[in-house]
Amino acid sequence: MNCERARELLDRWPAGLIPAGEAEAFDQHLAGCAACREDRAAATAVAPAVAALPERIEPPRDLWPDVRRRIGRPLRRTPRWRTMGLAAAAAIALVAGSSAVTLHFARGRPGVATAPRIPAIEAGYASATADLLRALDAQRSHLSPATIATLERNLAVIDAAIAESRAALASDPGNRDLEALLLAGYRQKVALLQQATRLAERS
Amino acid sequence: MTDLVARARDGDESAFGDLYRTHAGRVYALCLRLEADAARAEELTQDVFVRAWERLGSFRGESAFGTWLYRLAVNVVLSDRRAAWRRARRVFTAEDPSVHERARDTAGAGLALDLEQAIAALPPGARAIFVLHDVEGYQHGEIATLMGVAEGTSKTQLFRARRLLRQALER
Repeated sequence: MNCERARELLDRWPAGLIPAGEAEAFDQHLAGCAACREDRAAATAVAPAVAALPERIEPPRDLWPDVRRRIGRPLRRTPRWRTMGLAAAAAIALVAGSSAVTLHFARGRPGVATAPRIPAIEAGYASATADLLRALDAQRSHLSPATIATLERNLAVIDAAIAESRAALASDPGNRDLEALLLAGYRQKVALLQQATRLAERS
Repeated sequence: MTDLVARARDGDESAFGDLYRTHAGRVYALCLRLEADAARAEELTQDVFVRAWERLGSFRGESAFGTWLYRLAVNVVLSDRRAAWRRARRVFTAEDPSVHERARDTAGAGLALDLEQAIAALPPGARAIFVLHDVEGYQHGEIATLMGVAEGTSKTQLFRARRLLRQALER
């Protein structure tokens, strides 16, 4: 195992509980690598504190009056027929401008990620999900049937949302909102599996 | 799409107020952790909801409203940060008194409180990457795209952040 793989594993398993399949190679690598030992020590020191962070922090004062003042009177949404007209105009502008945009992205800027890299990002989530599912399968017997049923229901909902986003993106490639929804689905799946794995480890 | 979101989408300010009350805590937490500045986090939280109001028409209901909103919040904060880097750097308040209130009643409150303060003291770039990766669950490829950095930079900064946080927690 090299440092890159060791760091990938620490990314996925910040608490340091590496799945059995790679635990031995991971330990062997760390025995001879002070930098990775330090990374593991840092990850395992921080992970419990991250788990204890509250999800919500209420603002110290009510911000709604300011938000309400800024949004003013209720918006009059653009009538649908007009939206469609604008969309058509936007599509024409998009086609006209696409060559320039493509050229801009193709040139890129040194050290700066410019174009969306959805397939690569999806692959990263897919790999993380596969690792987590393997680890969870190995510890499945530690979870109660009710927990497993809940987990499976939630996974089914998330998978359906991911499939829906992928289908929508296939018919509207490059739509940033759809890309964001797709990646949010993957993120939720990884978070759910991490939570389930932590539950299984504690049981 | 829930009835509340549909009504807000149709311009119902009161429905949007209910959405604000449901999600403000989560959005403020994200802004505060990314910016480490309570006053700025308040401004950004307002910006997020104003932007959400303006863009609600583009929300198609393929995901939960919260998912859409938190993603929008990340974009608002990171866009603001890019603009801020072009202006003078703001002084962050690692000793923000609200930090002492926020986690008081939660399990592991002491540990969480120490971590909140340690996160606030991280360098801005490392802080954003740590919050997005370890707290919010983003992957390096996505962080790289959002922040306009190389993926390797995201990885390096994450481990740097964790080392700095460990030192702070063990002090």
